[in-house]
Amino acid sequence: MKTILLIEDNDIMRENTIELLELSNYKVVSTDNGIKGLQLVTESNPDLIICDINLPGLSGIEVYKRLPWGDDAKKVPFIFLSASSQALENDTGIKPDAYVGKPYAADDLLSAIEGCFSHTIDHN
Amino acid sequence: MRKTPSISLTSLTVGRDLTIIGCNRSGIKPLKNICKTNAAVSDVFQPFFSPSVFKSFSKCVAKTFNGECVSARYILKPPVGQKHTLDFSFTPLKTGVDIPAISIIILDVTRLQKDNPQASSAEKLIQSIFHTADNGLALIDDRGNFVKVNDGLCRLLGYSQKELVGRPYIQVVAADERKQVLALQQQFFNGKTDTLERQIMCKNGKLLYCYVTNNLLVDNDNKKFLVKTFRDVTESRKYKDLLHQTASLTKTGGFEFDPVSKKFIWTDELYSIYGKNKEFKPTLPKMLKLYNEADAFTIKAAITNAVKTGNKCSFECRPKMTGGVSKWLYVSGIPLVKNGKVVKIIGTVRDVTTEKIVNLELRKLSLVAQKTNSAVIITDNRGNIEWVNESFTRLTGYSPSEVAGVSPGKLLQGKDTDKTSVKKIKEHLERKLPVSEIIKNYKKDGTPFWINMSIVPVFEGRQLVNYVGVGSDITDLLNAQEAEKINSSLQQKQELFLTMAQNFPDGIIGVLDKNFKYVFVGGAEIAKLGLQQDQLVGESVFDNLYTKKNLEVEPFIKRAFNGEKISFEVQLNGNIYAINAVPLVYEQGRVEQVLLVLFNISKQKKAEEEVWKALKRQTELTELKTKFVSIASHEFRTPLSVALSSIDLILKYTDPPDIEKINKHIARVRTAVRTLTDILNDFLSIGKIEDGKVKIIKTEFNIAVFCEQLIEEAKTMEKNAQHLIYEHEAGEVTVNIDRQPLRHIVMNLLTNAIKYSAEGKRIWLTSAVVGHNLLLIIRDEGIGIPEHDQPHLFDTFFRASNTSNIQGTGMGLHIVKRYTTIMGGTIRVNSMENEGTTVTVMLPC
Repeated sequence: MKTILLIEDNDIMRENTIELLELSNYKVVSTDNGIKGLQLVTESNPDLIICDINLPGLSGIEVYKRLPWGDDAKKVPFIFLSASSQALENDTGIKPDAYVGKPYAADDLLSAIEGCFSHTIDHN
Repeated sequence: MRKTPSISLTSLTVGRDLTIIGCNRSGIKPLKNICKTNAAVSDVFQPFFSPSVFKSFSKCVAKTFNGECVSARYILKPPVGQKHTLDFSFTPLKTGVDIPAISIIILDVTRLQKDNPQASSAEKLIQSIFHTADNGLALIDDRGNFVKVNDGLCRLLGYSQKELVGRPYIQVVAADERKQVLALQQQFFNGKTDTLERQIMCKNGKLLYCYVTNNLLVDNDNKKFLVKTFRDVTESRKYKDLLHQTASLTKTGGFEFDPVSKKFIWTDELYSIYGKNKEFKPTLPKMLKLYNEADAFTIKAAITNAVKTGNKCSFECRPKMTGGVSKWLYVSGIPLVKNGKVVKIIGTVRDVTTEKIVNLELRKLSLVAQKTNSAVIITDNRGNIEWVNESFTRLTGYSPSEVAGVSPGKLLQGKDTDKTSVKKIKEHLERKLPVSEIIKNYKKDGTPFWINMSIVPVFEGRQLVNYVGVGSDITDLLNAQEAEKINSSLQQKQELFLTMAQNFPDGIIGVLDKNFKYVFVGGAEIAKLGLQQDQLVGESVFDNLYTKKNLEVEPFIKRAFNGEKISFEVQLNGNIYAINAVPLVYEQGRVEQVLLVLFNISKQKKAEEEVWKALKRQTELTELKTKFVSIASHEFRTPLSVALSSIDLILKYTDPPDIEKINKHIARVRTAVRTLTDILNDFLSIGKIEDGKVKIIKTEFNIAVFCEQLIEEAKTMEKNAQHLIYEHEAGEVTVNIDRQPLRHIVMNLLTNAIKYSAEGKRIWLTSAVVGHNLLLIIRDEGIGIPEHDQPHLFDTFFRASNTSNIQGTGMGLHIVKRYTTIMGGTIRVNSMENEGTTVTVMLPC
């Protein structure tokens, strides 16, 4: 069972997303801020990270830049959730595996996740 | 052969102590070196007189000191040499009644006595002429040598008598004239008489211009002499022509008068002077008839006195001439005394008519020049001042000595002197043409004045010698003209101004004097302010309007009087006035008055404000739009995301149906939709408020019931274990307020309290009616507002720095504030970060 790390500050939205992912047979670890999120990256060793861009404190972009993996580390797929894609377009150094705009339909998110995993499998 | 006739004379003044106070140089030979000032009379005369003679002499002196006039003839016996017969004339010299001194005139009559008791009248005349003439006199013999010269000539030429006598006359004539003189000499000896201007050479080589008269004298032995008179005219050569005439007319005649027979003996010259032929036998009565009464009296008195006292006489008289010709004669006579009696008077008559006229003319001219009210300047031919008159000094303040040698232009012209006038004068004078000009000059003290100046070049022959400038001060005249001009133009201006001013819309036009009082004022605004024009004249700018404003306005007016153009604004009775103060410069940069234009710009100002407001609102709206877009993109997406994901989840719980989960997610969708509605409503509210479309419709209702309903509604939003507590504290419960905005205010504040308070915290809503005000207090124990954010609390879209992870648009409090203001109320926020916030709203009810 794949483990997904969810970083989302809006409580209700986080709850809904967790509910959706669990219904799709994923194990979910979640937090409402970026710093805790980065901790969980090492602690929980997730197979995929879903992160909101507009976060209080450390933003999603900052989280992405501070991900602790180098060449040896296992490359974990990264999906951005955001109301706006503006921030990504402005920063060419950010290359997430997928981007899902808010509001999103459940199927959009799930197919993005599956896409990431299949891509990873293909790659491997 | 007889010697040349001669008469010697000594004149002495003797004091009461019988010492000589004064004596003449020329004198009777034996006495010459003895008669000295300070010598005692007795020391001088005793050696020459026998004791009886000296006694008589002393008696005469004493008598004279008693006031008598005495004459005596004494024989003088010097220790060596020949005897002399002397006629003494003693005359008291009076000072009031005192006789501090006497005059003794001693005439040596030895030769007259001894050689020729009845000496020829011609000889006597010559003798007297020699002694009475003021001019240089010389007797020339037929060989052209000086036989005798008088002191006058010696003084004139600088020679002593010795140096001249026996020497040829020609030696003293200037070299270039000698030939001419020699040619004429013979003619004179043939009887021609003439007067000529000659250049005579002095001993020191200096050349003098002298008028020389020549008269032939023939003595009893038929020996011929020339009598020459010399008059120095060097100084007066300026009046050459006139004096030349004078000289040609000048005749000096001689006469002898017998006091007993009253008969005159005249020389030919006198006949000529009086215009009589030789048939005329002059006697005193006949003579007097030649004069008018006054002159006749003077002459008679002078002669009678001379006969009586033996004193010299001289006077001026004007004989009545045929044909209305007027002559001035100068007569001088000297009595000859014999045995204490005047036996004869001999003298000269000189025709001084022309001199007199010249002198009178000159005197008149000089008086005119000196005393005229016009300033007179005479410059040399280079234009430097030689002479100025009294008027010039009066006018300019410069004394003659100050200006001598200075150019009048440099002296008088100043910065405002018209350059073209100066040029004109200069050009004319360079071409030696007369010129007239009105020009502005300056006095010594710097005062300007206008002068009407005429300058005329003066020529002698073809030589430019002087410029004469005559000017009159016309400053007053010009000023008067100017004033009249100004007056009439002022009057016109004033009328124009009056019309303008009275029709000046929305403003006041006025002219202020130096005391900041209105000299003139007009304008439509005066009436609007409830004033009358007449009230303002003589008053300060705002005396009748708003006294306090004077202090505000005066500094500006002062600057205007210093020549600045000033614009400023003043608020007055709710109106705004733009004031322009313009200095009115009349002359020499002096600001006598200030033109003040007040313009009511309230309307413009209002319009301007409107424009600014509109612009500001426009900017705000644009800003609002931008913010709306960015906020909408974030704040709308979250509830939309929630709604969408909850709907997706609902679909997942339908088979098998999980009612509990479905209901939970339906509630979430509902909340999300409500959140969206709220945000939308906020935007709409702001839009309405900004457009001014919010209308207050008051209704009466129970505030307690109203609040309880709101609490119930709010409870659906509260977090776990939060406590919402309501209390109506005091007063009426019925209020008269527009419910709609009130509901918005209270709900917004309650929502905020819930939103920014943690779970389990308490929230109080308290209402009270105090007087005519409804008081609403919402208190929480939430996160509070940082102090530095508090001033911006009510700004559109403002969010405090500690709210970033709490949803919100920043519109809520702004709307609350706007509604409160619209309802005529106030809102106050008290807050401490991490402790809580209290919002107090007060609304009239």
